[in-house]
Amino acid sequence: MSEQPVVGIDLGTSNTVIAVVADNKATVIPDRDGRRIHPSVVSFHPNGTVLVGQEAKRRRIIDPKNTVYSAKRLIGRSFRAEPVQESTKRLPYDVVEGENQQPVIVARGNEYTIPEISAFILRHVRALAEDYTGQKIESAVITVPANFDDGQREATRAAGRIAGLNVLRILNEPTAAALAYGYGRGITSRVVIYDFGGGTFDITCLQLNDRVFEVLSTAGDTFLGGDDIDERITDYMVDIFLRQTRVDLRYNIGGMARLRSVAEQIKCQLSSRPKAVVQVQEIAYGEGGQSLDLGFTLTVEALNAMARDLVQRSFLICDEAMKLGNVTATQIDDVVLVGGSTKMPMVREGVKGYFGIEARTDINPDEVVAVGAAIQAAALARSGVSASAPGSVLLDVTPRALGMAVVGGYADTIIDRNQQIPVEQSRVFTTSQDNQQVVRIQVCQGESRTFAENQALGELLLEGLRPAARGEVQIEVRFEIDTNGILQVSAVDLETGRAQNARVQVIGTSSEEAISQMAARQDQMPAPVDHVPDEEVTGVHTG
Amino acid sequence: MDQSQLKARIAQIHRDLDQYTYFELLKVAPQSSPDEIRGAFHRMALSMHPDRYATNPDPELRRMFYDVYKRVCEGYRVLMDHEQRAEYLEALSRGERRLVNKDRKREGPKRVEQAIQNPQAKKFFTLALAAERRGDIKTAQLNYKFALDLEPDHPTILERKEAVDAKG
Repeated sequence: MSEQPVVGIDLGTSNTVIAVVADNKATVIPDRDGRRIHPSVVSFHPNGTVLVGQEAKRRRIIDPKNTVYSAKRLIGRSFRAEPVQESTKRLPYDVVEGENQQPVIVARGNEYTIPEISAFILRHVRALAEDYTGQKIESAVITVPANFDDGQREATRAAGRIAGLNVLRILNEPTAAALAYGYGRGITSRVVIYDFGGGTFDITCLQLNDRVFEVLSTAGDTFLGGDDIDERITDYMVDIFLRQTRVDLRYNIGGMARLRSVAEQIKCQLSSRPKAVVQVQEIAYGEGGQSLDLGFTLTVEALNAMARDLVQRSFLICDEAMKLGNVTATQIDDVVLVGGSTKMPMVREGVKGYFGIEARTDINPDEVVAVGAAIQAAALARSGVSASAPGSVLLDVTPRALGMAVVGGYADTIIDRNQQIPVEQSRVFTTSQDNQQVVRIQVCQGESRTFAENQALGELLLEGLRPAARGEVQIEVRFEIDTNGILQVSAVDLETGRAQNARVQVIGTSSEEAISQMAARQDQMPAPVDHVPDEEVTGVHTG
Repeated sequence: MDQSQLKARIAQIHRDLDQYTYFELLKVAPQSSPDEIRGAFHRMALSMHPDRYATNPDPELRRMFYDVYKRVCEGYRVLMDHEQRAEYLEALSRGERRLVNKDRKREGPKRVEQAIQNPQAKKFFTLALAAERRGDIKTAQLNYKFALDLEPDHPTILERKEAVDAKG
C-alpha cells in the first residue's frame, strides 16, 4: 500500500479548505501567508494568469466580468433550471448554455464549464498540500452538500478528474463534520449537524455508536445560504443610495460588485459588534461628474430583521429532518455548527431555541468538514484485508427520492429518500402505446408526484420490444445506488430478457469523453496561482 | 484473518445469501426491538461495509462484500419500518425470505411515460400545462391540440386533453 498522503477537500460555495492526515492527526493546510481558508474564486487576469483565492476575490471588484465566484451554485445543473436562471441574473460574469444544457462561463473570450472552474480551485489547494507535505498528492475525498443530486455529485467528481485527482469518494459535508466531531472518541450520542454555508443549507441527524456513524436523516435547501443574506444587505444599500442620491446602482456592475463585498464585511462585523458604521466612497458619479459616497449605520437588530425569514427557513428544514429520522429536537444530545453563516448570533440563538441546548463552540465551523474528509480519505486509503482494522464506518442515506415518469405526467418513486446505501429496488412497468418497440425511461430525483416538479436527471432507452397491444409488454426497471451515491439504472424486457444497463447521462453534466478532453486541456494550462507573478515583486504580501 | 480466509468466509455468505432470512442475516431474534436491530446492523457494518475493503486488491472479494452488505441494508430497512416489517412477516409465512419492491402491494404495473420527441409539441404541451394551472381552459385545449397534431397518439397529451375537454 502506498504511503502517499491523501487529502480531504471541502469545496465550498465561498471558500475551500484542504486537510491531510499525518501521524493519525488531521491538519488543515495553510497557504504561505498562513491562511487556512481559500476563497473559491477564480479570476482570469488580462496577462493570461489564472488566479485563485484571496487575490482572485479582490478582483471581484476591479474585474467582475472575468472573476468567477459561487460557481458551486451552478455545478451539475441545467442552465434552464429556474434557480440557475435566478442566480445568473445576479452574477456579474457571463453564463451561457452549453452542451447537454450545461451552464458555461465566458471569460476573456474563452469558455469554461463549471467543473473546469472548480478544477482550478482544486489544483490550487492541491499545490498547497504538495508544498506543505513535500509529497505528491494524487487522491482525495471531496465533500458536497448532503442534498446535492446525482448530477451535482457527478459534476463535482468530474471537477476532481479534470484537476488530475483520483476522487476516492464524494462525501456528504455533514457526514464529514460528524466524523471530525466523533472520530476516535468512542461515544454514543445523537448529533445534529447544522450547516449554514455560503450557498446551501443542510441539516443532518446522526446516531453515533462508538465507531459507527449512521445518518438517520438529512434535509436541505441548495439555494439557501449566507450569500442570500449578503444580497439582502446589498439590496438595502441600493435602496439607501437611491434615496440619498437618486442614482440606481442595480445596472452598475462594478458598483454592485463593491456593494456585495461590503455587504459580506458588514455581516461578519455584526457577528461580534452591535452595529456597523459603513462608509463606501466613490461608489458612483453624479450628473455633474462629482463622486457619490454611501454612508449609513446598520445595527444587529436591523440585520436580523432583514435576514430573519431566511434563518427561519432553516428551521422548517430542521422540522423535516427530525420527522424523517423519527426523532424529536429534545432527543438531540449535541449540535455541531458548520459554515460561516453559523457565526451570526441570530443563527446561534435560533439553534439554541430550537434544540434547547447550546451548540458546540469548540469546533471550527470553517474547518470541520475538510478535517472529516481527510479522516475518511485516510480510512479509505488504509482499508484492506482485515475486518478488525481500526477506523470508523460511515453509513449514509439517499438524500432524495429517485423515480421515473409514468403515464399522465406523474413520477413513480422507485427508491425512497432517506434509505441506507447501497440500495437496489426494482418495479415492473408496461408499455403505454400499441406496438411500441422502444421504451424511454425518464429518471428524476425528488419527492413530487408530478414528474415536472422533480429534477429530471436523464433517460435510458430499451429497444427491440415485441409488437403488442399497450400494457402487454412487461419491463422491469431496476435502480441501484452504490456506496459512492452513484445511480445506475437498468431495464429488462421480462419476455425476451433483453436488457439495457446504463449510467444515465445526467442533464447538465459532461460525457466521459468530454471530461477526458477537459482534463487534457487543463493539463495544458499553466497552474493557477494566488498572486500575479509580476505584481509579486512590488506587492504588499507578507510571506 | 488473512486474505484467503477472509475470501472463503465472505464467499460462503455470498453463495447462501438467498437462503437467509433478514433475521438470520442480521443475527437478531424475530421479536427484536428496533434498538436491537440497529445495534446488530452497526456490528454488521463494522465488519461488512464495502469501505472496509476499498483498497483490497481482489475485485471479486470487494464485489461479494458489496452484495452482502447491500442485502444487510435491505434487511435493516425492512425490519426498521413498522409497515414493511409486518409485510415481511407475512411474506416469510409464505416461505419468501426477501421483501422486494416489485412484490409489494400495488395497484398493478403502471405504464411508462414516453418522452415527447417533437420539440415543438413539447413546447405546446408545456404551454398547455401552464394554462391549465392558471385555469385558462380554452388556451390549454388549443395548445394540447397543437401538441397532438405534432405528436399524434401520445398517451399523456391525449389523457390531459380529454381531461380539459371534459372541464370545458
